[in-house]
Amino acid sequence: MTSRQQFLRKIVYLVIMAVLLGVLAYLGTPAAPSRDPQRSSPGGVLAQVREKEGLTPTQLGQLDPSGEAIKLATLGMRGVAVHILWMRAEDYKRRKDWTNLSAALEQMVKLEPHFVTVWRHQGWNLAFNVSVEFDDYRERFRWVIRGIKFLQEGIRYNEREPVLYGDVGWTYGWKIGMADESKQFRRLFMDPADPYEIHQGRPPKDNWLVGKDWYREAERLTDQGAILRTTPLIFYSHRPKFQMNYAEAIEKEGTFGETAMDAWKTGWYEFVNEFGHRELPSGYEDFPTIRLYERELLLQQARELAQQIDELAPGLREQLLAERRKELTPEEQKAYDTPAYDRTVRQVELALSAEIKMRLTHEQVARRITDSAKRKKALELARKAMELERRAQIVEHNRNIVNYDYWKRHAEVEQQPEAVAAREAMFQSLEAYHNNDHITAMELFLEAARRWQKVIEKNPDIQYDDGFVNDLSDITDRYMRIFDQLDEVFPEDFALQEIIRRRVKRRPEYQIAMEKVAAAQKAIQAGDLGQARSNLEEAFSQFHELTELVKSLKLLSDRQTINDMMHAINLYDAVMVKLGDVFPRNFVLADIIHIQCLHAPELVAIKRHTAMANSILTVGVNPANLAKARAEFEQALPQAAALLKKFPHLARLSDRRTATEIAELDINYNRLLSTTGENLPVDYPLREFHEKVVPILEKEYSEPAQPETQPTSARSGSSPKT
Amino acid sequence: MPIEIELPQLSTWIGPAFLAWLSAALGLATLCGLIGFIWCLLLYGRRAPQRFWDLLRSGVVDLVLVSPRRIGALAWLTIKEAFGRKVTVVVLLFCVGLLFAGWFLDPTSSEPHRLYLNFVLGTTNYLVILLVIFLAAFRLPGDIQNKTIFTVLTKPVRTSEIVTGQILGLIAVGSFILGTMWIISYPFVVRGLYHTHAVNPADLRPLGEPVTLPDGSQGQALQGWTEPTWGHRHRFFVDANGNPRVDMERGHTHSVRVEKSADGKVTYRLGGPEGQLVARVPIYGSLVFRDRNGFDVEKGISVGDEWTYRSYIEGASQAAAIWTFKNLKPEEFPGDTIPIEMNIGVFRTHKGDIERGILGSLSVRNPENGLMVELQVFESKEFSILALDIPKKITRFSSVRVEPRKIKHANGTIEYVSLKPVDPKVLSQKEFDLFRDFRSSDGTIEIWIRCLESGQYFGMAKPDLYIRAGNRSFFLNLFKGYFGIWLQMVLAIGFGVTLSTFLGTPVTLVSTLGVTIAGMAHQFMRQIVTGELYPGVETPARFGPIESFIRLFTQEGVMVEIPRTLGLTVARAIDLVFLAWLNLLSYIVPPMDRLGFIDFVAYGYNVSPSLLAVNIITVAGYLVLLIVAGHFFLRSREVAA
Repeated sequence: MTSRQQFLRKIVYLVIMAVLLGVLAYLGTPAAPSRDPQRSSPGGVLAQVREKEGLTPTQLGQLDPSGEAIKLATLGMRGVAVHILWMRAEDYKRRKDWTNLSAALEQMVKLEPHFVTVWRHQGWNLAFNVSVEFDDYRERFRWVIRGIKFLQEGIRYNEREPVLYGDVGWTYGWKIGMADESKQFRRLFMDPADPYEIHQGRPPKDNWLVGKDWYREAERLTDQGAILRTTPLIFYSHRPKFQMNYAEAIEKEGTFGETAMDAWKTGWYEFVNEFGHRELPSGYEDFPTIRLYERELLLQQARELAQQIDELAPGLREQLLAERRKELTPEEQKAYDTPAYDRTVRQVELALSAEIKMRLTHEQVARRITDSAKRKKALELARKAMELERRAQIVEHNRNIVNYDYWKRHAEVEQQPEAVAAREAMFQSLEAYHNNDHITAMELFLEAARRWQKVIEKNPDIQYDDGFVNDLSDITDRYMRIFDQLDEVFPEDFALQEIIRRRVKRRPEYQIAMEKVAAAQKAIQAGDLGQARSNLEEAFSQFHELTELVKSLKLLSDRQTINDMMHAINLYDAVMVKLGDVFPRNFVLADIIHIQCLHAPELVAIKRHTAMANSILTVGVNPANLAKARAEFEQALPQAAALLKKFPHLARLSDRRTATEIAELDINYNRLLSTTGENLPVDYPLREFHEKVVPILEKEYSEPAQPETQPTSARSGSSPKT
Repeated sequence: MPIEIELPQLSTWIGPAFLAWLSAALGLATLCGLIGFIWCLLLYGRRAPQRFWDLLRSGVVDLVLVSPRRIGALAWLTIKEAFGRKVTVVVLLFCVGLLFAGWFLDPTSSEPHRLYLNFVLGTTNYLVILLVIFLAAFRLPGDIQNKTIFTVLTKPVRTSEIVTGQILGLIAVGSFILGTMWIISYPFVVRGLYHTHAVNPADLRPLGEPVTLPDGSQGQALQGWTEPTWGHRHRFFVDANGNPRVDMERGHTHSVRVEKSADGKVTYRLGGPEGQLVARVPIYGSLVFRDRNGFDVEKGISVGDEWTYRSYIEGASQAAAIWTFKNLKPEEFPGDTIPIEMNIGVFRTHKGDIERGILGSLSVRNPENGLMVELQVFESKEFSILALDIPKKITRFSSVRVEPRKIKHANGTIEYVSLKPVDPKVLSQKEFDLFRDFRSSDGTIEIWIRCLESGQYFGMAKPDLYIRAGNRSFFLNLFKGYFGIWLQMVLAIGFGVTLSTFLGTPVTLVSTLGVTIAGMAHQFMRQIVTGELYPGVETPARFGPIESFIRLFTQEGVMVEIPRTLGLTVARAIDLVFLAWLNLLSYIVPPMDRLGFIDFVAYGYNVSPSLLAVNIITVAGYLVLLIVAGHFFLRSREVAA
């Protein structure tokens, strides 16, 4: 290569370098802001785009010299370094090396301070996953707070990321307020000494309200135009729900009266008037934005338009509906006419089918109008009405996602003085229970039930709300331990019976059981005892499942349902009488019969007299004592006969424990007579029981337990404890 | 401190290790000799045997007749050159790192001392190893490339002296840098961890009723909290006499000074943290488990934890964890008690009482006659050290009994471990002597841990319970931590210099870096080869590069079965070759990760002399072979030149 060639090559290189530098400068020159607008420079294309999109480091959040220094130290291998650190962090977590995990996270975020996912994922990781690795709840709490502080640190670098504010709020609310340890967590959170440095010198505030404040801040940002990288519908629902969670939490901890009512009122206001009125993306192209409160308004407007159509052709709609109704099967008609709440599972399906057949659009009505001018007008009205209905449907769909109707009604009811009073009585009842004052606890619970009854009377619609019914039914299930402790059953006038009944009637187990009972009745009438027996056993199995779901039924919380069960038992008894058989040893509803027997005055009297007689005989067997014991037995015998008359199926061993009590009375009385050399009196009230039932029981006790014959679902039921 | 691999004991390790080293050395010598001979054949044809013999003979002579003076001179030359290349910049870099460390070291962490120590030792490790690799890689090839090596070779020096001199010189440079870092890091750690707390006397609440003191005055015990600093606070007590005490929190406590002003106002001044920077001396025992039916088993049960380090025992059952400590002598424990420390895991299957830990019991048993007593019930505390004392004179105990141990064999037969009979009178004793009644004739004592709550579990591994035989100096232990780095550095230098005798600078650099990285990940390599990385995976081939690549792209985890296609079978076949290569490599590459003691220092455990000796001997073994190999490589290169 000659020197000339070398020179030319160098020139070419220089030119290429100059061109590339020019391109680089055009694209990448940094912005140079200055106080003097004339001297400031907007920088290259990239700098201008960054500025326009709000992506400059200063716009994203605070600048961090340490992070920048570490980034430089990685010599352009930042991505690799972050990946290695992420893997290390996972490994530290797996090996429960919390100190190094924290350090790895610290380094990771220094490298990627504006990568929001890192902050969100690892903040959640610390607060929700790492915290639960600790056995001590104080350590758990420490890690929850660490997770929150990690997220707050993320906000410092990403000041315009509403999701990070939301995550902080979410963790304050849910992790502290809803965890298994929420009682302890809330106590630590509200500690005036603030050992975890949460409140930064401010007086402690409820965790739900603190969470709510963070959501409010996030909303402020989105209102200012910050991009919300999550579903707005759900995101905006959190703040008012947190207010309602706050109201629930303070009631759970014993704060009632005006404070509780105000908390609920605020919750309702924020949910309905703020969240409900917020413009939200609908997820549908035809109506891209909606407001949740407007459904009723839209439907009202649609109804008015429909009325106008009807005025153009009076009676036409009714005529068309009548035509369609004729196409329904009788079952569909019945299901369609039954109120939605009272429909059985089968009827729900039939009603749906009927509704499809009965569906009549405004357009269909309008098209049937014969007068062309009126038809044209009606078609225009129909179009508008259908548009309104479509929009209402979209609103409803979005409402369902956040359970809008439930929360709205819930807040409306809970802010009423009657509801707060009912909650207060329940709280006091629980307090009394924990203080081992079970009688007061029971009285207070019954008072709470009466107060709930008042709430229902004032708001009759809530008894058709599944959520509300289930809540109250669950509460009854939880409080039944008070009755259990006292060996009591729910009183016959228990105020929440109707609510429990509603829940029971909605359960498919109950519906199937009742269908089986009806089928058994028909089989009995047809003389098919085998089928009747089979149907009834299936019904018992379903009833048993029901008592496992609605536990308070075991203590007779709803007498109507218990009567349904007893009706089935009586039918079964009739079948057993005809078949000459007895109830199976593991009869699944034996407990339901037993609890009734236990609270029957007859069995109480039998137990008292038998115990008295036995204690007399324990002192010494002499003529005087024998006479006294006999007198006691003879007072018990008519009671036993009365009990058998009240529960005749006891003679077919429907409840072996009660039957055994009677059998013991019979055997002891017979022994006494044989001691005195007497025979059974002619008018012995338990003669039939003595001759037919006692031998069966004696035989059963002398034999090992029979293999089970009940269906699988019934096997989990109680077994005789005799 | 989790110790996932068995720590070797010098006495049991040295014999097999020496034999393994000898066989490896002989194998390597034979292999190198064979290659050398073939090489001579190619170069010299019929004269090859003579040339090979000359080379071998003179090589051995060179090795044997080394001059320490000349080695010293060459080492000094290396040192001078290294300092000429401004190696001290690394120390400056380290100092700069320390200056800015506060930005990313979080003193509010639950164990800040571990964070600080990990940082200083980790930073030192990376900096020093990188430095010596660069120095080693540039030194000799540079000389050869610049022909300056001929200046040395023309002098009356042997090649073995050049290699040894280079290695020793670089070791000296590295040692100087490490020593400087050790001295600098100690005050950095101590100062970094220094903090104190304020106590507001007005916040202290009365504890119990006032008591009358011997001087007739009334005294009132007080309790409260210190002000929070670095995300924690300590429980603070003042007894009726006015003596204050600070509770342990986050592994440390503080000394307290009471100051009374003229108007009788009391002020409590807390000192710096105490008990954080320690070097505990643990005596580890062996661990076996007893299952819920009372049979001895090697492992407890798994609670589904991904990390299988600990296995668990079931509460309120016969399950127990049994540690056996051997050669325990009363004179080793001068006090009235034997301190033990434990760090056990807890797994709850139900919430239970979350206001407190799970209850467990500590018992001692004589393995010879089965005599056992329960000493105390303790409350579990996870992820922190629970210190308990076993009294030498046992006066408070319960459940005195003879506890047999039994094993259920695979064929269903039950074998009872034979026991010496116990005098029935012993069972009714009111006092026991730990060493007389519970130590077997060979000096063995068993410590049993049980979980007492039904449905709850304790998890443990062997190092989770140990007898604490006092403390050693933390300053010295920090030195040992640096010494571990020094050992790694020596190996890196050895490899660097040896590889540089026959490779060019860039290749030497990459190769030494490769060996060092592989050495640092030695345990990981072995886990891949043996399949221990994910216990339960049926074949290690799953960790092969090709299958890993497939799984990466199909987004399937390691534990997920993927359809066995022809492609997968081929991939696994190729992977097996890769894994065989990795297996071979794992025997050649030194286990550098085991040479470091960073975890020991950071967790506060003394590095035992036995472990130190094992690591020194390991490094020496590698270094000898590297010097010999380097010498022959350089000699062959010289001959070729």
